[in-house]
Amino acid sequence: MKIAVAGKGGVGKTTTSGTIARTLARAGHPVLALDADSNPMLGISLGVGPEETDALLAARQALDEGEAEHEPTAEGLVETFGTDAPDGVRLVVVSRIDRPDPG
Amino acid sequence: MLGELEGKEEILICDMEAGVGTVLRMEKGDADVVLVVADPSAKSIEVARRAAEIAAERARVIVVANRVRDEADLEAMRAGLGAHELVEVPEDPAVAHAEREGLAPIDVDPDAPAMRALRELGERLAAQTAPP
Repeated sequence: MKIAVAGKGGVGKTTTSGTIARTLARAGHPVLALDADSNPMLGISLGVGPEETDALLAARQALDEGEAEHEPTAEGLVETFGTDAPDGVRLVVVSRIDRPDPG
Repeated sequence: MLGELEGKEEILICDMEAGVGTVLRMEKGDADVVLVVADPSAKSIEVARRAAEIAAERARVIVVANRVRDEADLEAMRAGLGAHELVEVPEDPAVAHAEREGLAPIDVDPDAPAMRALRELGERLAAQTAPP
């Protein structure tokens, strides 16, 4: 199953994504959570913490700025730009970072 | 490239770019379910109404009516978005409080009203997906 979460900024889109992802994982499903928002804060709502969320953001930003190599495969992308969140959710930041200092 | 990931993990959930743009670019098959999140502000309801209308042509749409404080909020959201399946999530200070601390609201207070509502929706979706 593929679930997309949409809406205006600031309405609770990311909280919804993170909470639903965790609940699906608790129900026993393998879950891959993709953060495609240009203000990528899904890590917080998933519970990976601010430091790990920032680290993922920095890795993604290095890619955008040409400092890191593009991963040639989808698996490589999940490996390099991903991290493990609680309940076994795998989180990957796939957005370009438009606002590196999100407020 | 994201298409390559399909099937390797059972459930993909994508927190999309804010606004209607990404929904406009979505093609049939990109998502089975689109959760359209809105709060009771007129602007958010209008963005959600357009997103839901477009997404409904391509996928199952569930509107998440978030931050509902009272009957008037719910009525405003039903008026704009009632054409779609709608899940009510109450206004809940526990959510903002947890995220300000950098923590997942589901960890800080899993029984907070907003968490209960979202967990119910998640459990419903989980039950509708074939078991792993």
